Amino acid sequence: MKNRVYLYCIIFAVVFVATFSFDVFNAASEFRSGWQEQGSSREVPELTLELNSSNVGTIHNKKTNKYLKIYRKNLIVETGFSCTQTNVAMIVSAFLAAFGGILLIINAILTLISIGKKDIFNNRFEKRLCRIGIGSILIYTGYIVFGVVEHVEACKQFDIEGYYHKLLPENSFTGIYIGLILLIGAQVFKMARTLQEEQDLTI
Amino acid sequence: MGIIVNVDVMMAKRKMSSNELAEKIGITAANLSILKTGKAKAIRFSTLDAICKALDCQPGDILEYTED
Repeated sequence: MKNRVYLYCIIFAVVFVATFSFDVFNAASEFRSGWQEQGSSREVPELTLELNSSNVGTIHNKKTNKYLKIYRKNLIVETGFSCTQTNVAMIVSAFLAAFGGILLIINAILTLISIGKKDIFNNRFEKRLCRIGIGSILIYTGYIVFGVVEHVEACKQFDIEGYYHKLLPENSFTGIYIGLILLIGAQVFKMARTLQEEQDLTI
Repeated sequence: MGIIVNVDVMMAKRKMSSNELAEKIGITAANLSILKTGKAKAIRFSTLDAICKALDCQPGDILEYTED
């Protein structure tokens, strides 16, 4: 049990350091681009992949040498991109996310019911907490993998001067943090239950 | 765990029933049963003291260590 808690804490620390480094790297690159653009007094807008119904204007895509319909919203340009080339990574990530979602919803409902019945201090509750944690991690892992694959595909299809495509949206790792905290909580709960059992069996 | 509880052996030697011993040492019959069947995780010194007093024996007569 203790080893598992240590393992989850190490994974948590690794994910935290990785996301922090990623954010610092992103912030640094945005700061650098902002610094370079200061002279030209023009900001580099973000390119997103969703399309809103009200298309206004067009923009030149250097990759295909065609003009795209776009929707402008502040500094965001939406192009209506949809990844047509489904690859294995996308299918696996979508499957992972769907499986994680089902796991999370079923176990969350069962946990709520058991809390209502005050049926908490048992092995089942700990397992449900673990499953909710794993479900949360799977959903967000699938989401991140899907986002990265989509980003790679978007970079292959789009090259629009003056715009960049963001790799992942903010708070992409939140679900992974929540999942790891739940897994750590489940192990701590298990340790507490073992201690209580020992206390009960002390004559 | 290689610790064996021999309370039942001492009880048989002293010809004492479970209920009688439980009453003398101040624990429930259910807890004495847990102790006798080896399901107990730990035993308090106060309980051990009471058992030794009731059965007129040493702790070594009740607890025995064997290799697993």
